[in-house]
Amino acid sequence: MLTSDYLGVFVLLALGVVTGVGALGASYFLGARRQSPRKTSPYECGIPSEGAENQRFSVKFYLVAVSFILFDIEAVFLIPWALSYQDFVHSSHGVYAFVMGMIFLGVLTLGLVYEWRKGLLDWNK
Amino acid sequence: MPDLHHILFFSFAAIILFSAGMVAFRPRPVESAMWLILNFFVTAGLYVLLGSHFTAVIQVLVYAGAIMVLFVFVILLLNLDPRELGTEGGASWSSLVLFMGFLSFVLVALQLATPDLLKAPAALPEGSTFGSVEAASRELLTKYIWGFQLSGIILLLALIGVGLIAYRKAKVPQVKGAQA
Amino acid sequence: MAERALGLEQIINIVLSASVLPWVFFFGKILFIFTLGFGVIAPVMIWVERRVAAFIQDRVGPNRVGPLGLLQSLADGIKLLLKEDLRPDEVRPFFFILAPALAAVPAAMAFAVVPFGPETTLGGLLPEPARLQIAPLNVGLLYVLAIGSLAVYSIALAGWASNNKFSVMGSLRASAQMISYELAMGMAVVAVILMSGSVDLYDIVKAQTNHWFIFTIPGFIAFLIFVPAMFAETNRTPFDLPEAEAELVVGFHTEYSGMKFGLFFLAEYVNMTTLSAMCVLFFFGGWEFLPFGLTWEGIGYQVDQHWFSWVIPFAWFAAKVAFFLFVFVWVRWTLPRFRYDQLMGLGWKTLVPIGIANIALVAGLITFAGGF
Repeated sequence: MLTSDYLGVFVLLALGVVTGVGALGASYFLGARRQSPRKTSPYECGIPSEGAENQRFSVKFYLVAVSFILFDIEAVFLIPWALSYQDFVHSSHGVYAFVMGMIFLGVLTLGLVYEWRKGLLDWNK
Repeated sequence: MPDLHHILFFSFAAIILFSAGMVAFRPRPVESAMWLILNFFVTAGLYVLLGSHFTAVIQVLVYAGAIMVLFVFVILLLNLDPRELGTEGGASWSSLVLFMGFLSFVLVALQLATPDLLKAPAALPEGSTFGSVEAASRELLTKYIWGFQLSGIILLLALIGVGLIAYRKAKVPQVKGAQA
Repeated sequence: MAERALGLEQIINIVLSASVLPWVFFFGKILFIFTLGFGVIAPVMIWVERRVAAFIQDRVGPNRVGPLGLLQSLADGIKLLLKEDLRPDEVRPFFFILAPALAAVPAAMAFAVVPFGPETTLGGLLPEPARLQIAPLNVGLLYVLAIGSLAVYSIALAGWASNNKFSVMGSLRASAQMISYELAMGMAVVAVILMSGSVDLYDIVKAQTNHWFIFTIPGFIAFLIFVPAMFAETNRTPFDLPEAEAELVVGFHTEYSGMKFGLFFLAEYVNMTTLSAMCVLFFFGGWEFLPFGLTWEGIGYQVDQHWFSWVIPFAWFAAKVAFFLFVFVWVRWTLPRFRYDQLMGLGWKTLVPIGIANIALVAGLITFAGGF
């Protein structure tokens, strides 16, 4: 695989930016503009906005994000294992690859079981 | 004569340094987070230039796609009012210029002192599999197998840490008005 | 007229010359895929969505603009462009505009590795078989996952920049949901990698020559994980909690109107297309004709005979993708919405554990049973 294979990625990145900027730019120039204080007030089903916007949110969201990072990294580590698994099997090291994978997967499962028992996976708790 | 590889390397490096500076100097955390995402993304480009395609993809997948999500989450969750952030704000543009100037100075000094240190490594020969997914995974599962297992255990410990911190008995009364 | 014909002939000769042809091929692919995704599939899908919704609800649906109302999306697009570029008072202006623009970028970039047909020399025009894929990366699958994981930012940013309580709540929900199901999808994908032994999308299709992965037990389980994850990743019903109209107005894009809303809408349909294509590539043999060895070669069709012979496999691939796009619509107008705790429970307590067990199952089958 060559670096030049990524040329297409660049071109599509550029096309994505052009689409985004182009569409917004066109609507900026083509669209009508008649703004009024009523029109530009924050939307809240017609009634005047109540309460502060910057309220605090449940820590659950944060926990989900942290668990996601940890499990995501584990999943990323599983990818190279999965990728070369058949090579190991074909060179008759299948049991080695299986055991090593299962140890890793077991640790991952332990983490999941821990979170489950601790109630991190129960949204209502 | 500079070839495409060099031009790309220097433009990527410039973007990385610039965005890193912006991360440090922008006053608002969201802006810093966005610059950091750009930084990670271009760093992946640098890995591609090095021929390490697997690392490049993982860089985007883990850093830009997972770790930065947590940062953005924290910013969203706290949802701080600009007033709460205080007047400390970001550093001024002059310090950014100073920072860049200092960095350039270090680089020039290094180049003058030890020209070999900053010499670009030779490009990979055609058809080399170095850094490819297959090569990287074979190494990971043979030579570095215990590192591989250890990383799993470290992640498990991190998970347990999260559980312990999140479900510690609260000593202070809960903040009112928190909702899902 | 004679001079003109000569001119045309010369142009064709230049286009077909060895030095220019690869570039024509390269930009041709980009033009083809990009126009197809953003210019054809997305607008047509929006029309299909409305017609099918109408059919399911026993209504007529849009049928005035063009034949069968097919040009409705075009009319809507023009309307969105001409709409007022509204910017509410409380928003954080720069990020408010950045968010929708950012939605289009990962959507477009994901197309770079979506293959749309077999390797071909275009009937001998190219010196060696080339892939019908814009960027022939052999980390294609990982690239799609990586780019897909960036989609969450435009949504998070949109909610934060809107500075509206519905938007912030919607974007928080959306982000938490997308990352949770990304994990489930990752587990399904690891099983696919185990079965195919590659992260190259062409190799994954090749590995399914004799049996599509959907017809294997672990493949079927992975498919059952992949499909809900696919719906959740695109924030579609029954997982459209970020937009839950009844409680959150429309969630993260409450404050968005005009073309800014249009871009979110467009990106949603483009992402649906990419994920449907992935589903077909992972489980349904990509562009291959039928499972059990009945490939195009198997039934005697030469995919490389003429320069246009790739069109048939491509059309077959497109038909499979279209089916999944239809499923998206079908499900949306059939199933009710989940509750948020049910959604997170399904992701973390059902799909992820099944995914882990499935990985162990595939690995065990390969080592101890010699296959899956």
